[in-house]
Amino acid sequence: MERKTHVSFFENGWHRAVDSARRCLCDEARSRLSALETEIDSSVRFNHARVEAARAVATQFVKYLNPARDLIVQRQQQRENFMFIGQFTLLLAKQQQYDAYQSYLEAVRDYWLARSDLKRATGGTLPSDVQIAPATIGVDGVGENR
Amino acid sequence: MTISRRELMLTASAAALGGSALGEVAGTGQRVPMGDAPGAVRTLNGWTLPHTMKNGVKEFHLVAEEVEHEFAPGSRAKCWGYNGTTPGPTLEAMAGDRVRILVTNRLGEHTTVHWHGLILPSGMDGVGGLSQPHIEPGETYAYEFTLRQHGTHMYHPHADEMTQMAYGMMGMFIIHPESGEAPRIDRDYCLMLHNWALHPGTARPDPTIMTEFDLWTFNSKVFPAIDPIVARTGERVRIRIGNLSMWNHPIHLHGVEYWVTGSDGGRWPRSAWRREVTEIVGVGQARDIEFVAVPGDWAFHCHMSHHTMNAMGHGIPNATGVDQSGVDEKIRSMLPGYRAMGKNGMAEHQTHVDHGHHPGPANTLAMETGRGPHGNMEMGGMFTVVKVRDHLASGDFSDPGWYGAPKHTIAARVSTDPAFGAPVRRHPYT
Repeated sequence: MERKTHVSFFENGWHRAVDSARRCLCDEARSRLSALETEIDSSVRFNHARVEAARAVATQFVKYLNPARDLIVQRQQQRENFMFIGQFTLLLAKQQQYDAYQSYLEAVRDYWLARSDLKRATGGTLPSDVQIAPATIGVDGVGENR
Repeated sequence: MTISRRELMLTASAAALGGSALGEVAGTGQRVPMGDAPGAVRTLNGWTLPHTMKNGVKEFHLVAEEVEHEFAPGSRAKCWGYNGTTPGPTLEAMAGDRVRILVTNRLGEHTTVHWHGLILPSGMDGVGGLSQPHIEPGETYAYEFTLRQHGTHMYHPHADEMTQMAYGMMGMFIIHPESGEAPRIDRDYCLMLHNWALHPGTARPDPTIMTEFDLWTFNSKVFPAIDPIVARTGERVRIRIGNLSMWNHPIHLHGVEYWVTGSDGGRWPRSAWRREVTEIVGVGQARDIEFVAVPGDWAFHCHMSHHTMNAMGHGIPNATGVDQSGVDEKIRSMLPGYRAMGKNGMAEHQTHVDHGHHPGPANTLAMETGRGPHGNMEMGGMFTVVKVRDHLASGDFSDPGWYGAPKHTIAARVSTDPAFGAPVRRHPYT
């Protein structure tokens, strides 16, 4: 008659190994999760900062630089009218106004690229999506009288 | 009772001309007109400072201060001057007078007053740091001396001189000869030449500009805001001209050959008079010209032609002869307010400006302005009109309007065809 004997020593070791492996996998997963959380958090923060910086740059154009360039062209036109400057100097002011608006459009583009990356980083919608027009930077008015 | 020329000057026309500048009847304490009295000098657009007699001394009181000034309607600035104006009021006295001139400094920096060309003690000469301590803000100094000469003189600061003069601190000091003059002067005018760097769109002159000025003025005014020089036919007119600008000015009068009769050195001996139609008044110089008035409207101006314009750019591209028709449209697509000018000269500019097509910078005068009875005058700066009429009351300095010249004496059109007549014309390359 064959008799089977349970060798508890090996069985005990196998279970321990499996537990250990599971714990390792769990730890690894936790670590990856933590790293992913950190990465997402970092990415959101980074892209949020990009959005805010791009918004600040674009706002500077809207509030100060574009109106200043508009005013410079207007003033140079007045000066040209009274023959204080020549037409080439006036055209230079106009060119600089175009350059300013080109830089403004690039700033708006950078804003939207940053906002898109932020949205991707958050994996969903942004709070400003609800009322996107008033909450974001646009290019309304570009081209009017220019 | 005999009345001296000095007393006559002080007392005459008091009733008729009340309300103008006041002097004081000698020994009475009564103040009477000086600037409009017969024999007294008339400062175009300006005034004569009243004085008071104190123990035989004529006492004047100048106040150096910032002033609001209008060069012509449309251009005002914060300038510096004396007693509220630039130029400061004219000082007027007689040779032999003892004068005391109080100078109160209401500027933010020190000043002095130099009595340009006067013969006086060294310590009264007004050179800050050299002949006297500076007059600090809030202080009043007294200058006192006896007038030992006659003639057309000036006063101006000799402290931070370039700045203070660039802001308009200057005035005329007219000293009449005690013994009178022959031939007698019926109308005696004085004016000061000056230049200003009042940049387009600004309201305070720029003292850092040395050569390229914007405004050229008679008594700190530009045409058409300069008073006319009014006289009756046959009257003997003197115009005293002082120059405290930074350029020499060839002063030209139409219609007569005038005599150049005097300067800072007084009225010259008759043998030294000379006939001219243009006399250069150099920087720091004074010149007197005299003429017998002939009826008409006669231009009187500096002959540096850009001095008879208001502000204009220097060195802008020359458009004369350039066909800008295609370019004009392209530029207008970017700059709707743009209008090509100058293909046939600059005369069209005044028309555009007068019709409002060409708005200019704020507080800035157009380079060509003024409209006469026959059209645009295209002038500015150092330009005014000597207006002589047959019937003018003595002492009437009001503008009589435009001269009604007999029709047959006015240049008239005889053709509108450029090919009219057979004029001799040369062709240089054939």
